[in-house]
Amino acid sequence: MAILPLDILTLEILPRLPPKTLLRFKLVNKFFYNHISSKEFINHHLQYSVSWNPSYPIIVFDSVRDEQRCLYMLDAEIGDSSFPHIHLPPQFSSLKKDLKVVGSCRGLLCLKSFNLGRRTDDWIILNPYTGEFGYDSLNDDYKLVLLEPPYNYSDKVSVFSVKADSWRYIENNSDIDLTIIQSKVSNCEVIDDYLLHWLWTDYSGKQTKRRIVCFNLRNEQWGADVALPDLDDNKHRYGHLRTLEGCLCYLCYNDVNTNAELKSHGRNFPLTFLIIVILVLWSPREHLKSCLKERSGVVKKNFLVWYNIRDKTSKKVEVSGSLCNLRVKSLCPRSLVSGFGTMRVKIDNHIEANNRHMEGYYIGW
Amino acid sequence: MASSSSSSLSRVVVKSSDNNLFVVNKKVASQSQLLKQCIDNMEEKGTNDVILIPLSNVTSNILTLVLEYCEKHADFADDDNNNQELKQWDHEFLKKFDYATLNSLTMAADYMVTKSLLNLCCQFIADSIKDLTVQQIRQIFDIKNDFTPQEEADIKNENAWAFR
Repeated sequence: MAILPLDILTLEILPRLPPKTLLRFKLVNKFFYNHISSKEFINHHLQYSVSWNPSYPIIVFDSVRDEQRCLYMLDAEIGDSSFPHIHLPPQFSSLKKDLKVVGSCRGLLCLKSFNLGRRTDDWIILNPYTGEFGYDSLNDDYKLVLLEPPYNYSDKVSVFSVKADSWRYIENNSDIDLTIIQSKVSNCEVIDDYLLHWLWTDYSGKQTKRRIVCFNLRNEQWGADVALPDLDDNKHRYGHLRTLEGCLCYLCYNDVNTNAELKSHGRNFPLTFLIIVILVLWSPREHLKSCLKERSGVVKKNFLVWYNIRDKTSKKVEVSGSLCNLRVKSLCPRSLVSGFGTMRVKIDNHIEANNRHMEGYYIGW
Repeated sequence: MASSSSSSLSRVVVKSSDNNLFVVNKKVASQSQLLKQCIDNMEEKGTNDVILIPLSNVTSNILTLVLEYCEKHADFADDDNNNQELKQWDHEFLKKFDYATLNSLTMAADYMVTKSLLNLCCQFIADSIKDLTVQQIRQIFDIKNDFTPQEEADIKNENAWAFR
């Protein structure tokens, strides 16, 4: 019988497997264990996860269930029968109601806890898929970026380096006027781990325009400020920037509260009928391309349907329990990247004075 | 690639490791980067002879399958990659094979640099092994377990949730 050569098995087949399978396959032999644990493989696997077509990202969302707003996750590949909470380490489990998603990068999710009245912020960086949460040898630096909040107009951004454990301020040398953008930012997403994109709304013209401005974390320069293509304003007014398959996408919701159903079920919480339209806008490799593809997820009572408009395939995931006011916070690729734990960041006087305008924060690599 | 039509070849002959000859249309052969490279080289030299390409690593039954794939994909070469009919065909094509054939086909695709077939085979294998047990993996890929029982227990503990 023909046995596959090791290089095809390790370089071509293993990166296509889901992390759960890979963790199990560490047990095959010592070579598998070392290979799957290696940094090179983890990075290689992440690349596949982001760009390989049939993989569905983990959806991280917050929603109200049992009268509590919490963060949940959904993995369409596993087809979980319930929405599990984000797995948190024991010392943070009491915080699960007060966490906010700051962003995601390299399959990791960055959460921030509200510590009102304290001079420190708790940040939790974990892999939502594996729940893995340990200190990684910090050879690589992660950076937190704060676009100055509106109260203190200035043309700088603050960058916190995890490695250096300190804040730095970066002057703006471009012709993009940050003081105009700062107060109008709605959210930020990162692609290729270092290109941070903020979505903001430009009210200066006759028509309001949504625009995207980019900050490059490697050379710390501001890049293109581009306008989104014209969208049907009634249908696509409220959207957020998200990342999908390594591209930026603009994700909109069409909420239709199904009051009729509500009555017939006699329940005291609203069932939300939700349609998500995803317009993929930009990929670093192909530059601006509008409406490249659309994919929608429909949450309808007790199941979620992923629909891929490109190849007309759909995937149904049954879920238990009803959720209302569901908001997708992040689309995280499944990865083996290990979260490096928590950090307590001292809030600089300068930043604290500006309150906590969370949407301005972002983490990059 | 040579531009003059007088020196361009329309066919090549491919020889399998067990010495069977296959006459292959140039468009079909171009699906394999290895064959395409050979053709381009010959055309650059301006030869008008029919060229023979020996493939020392591919048996005739596997070569037949690779050429069947190339022929189908050459027909769709001008279409976009998302053609549903082609995807369906790909799936039906691979479904017929056992692991041994699939492995040989994967190696042939790698050797003949037919990237799309290699991707297809690897994804197919990945999909079919993802729910297998560790024991089954060792068996299929002929891998010997070199852990002590204690080490095995430790690794299982480390990632307990993955074994549930």
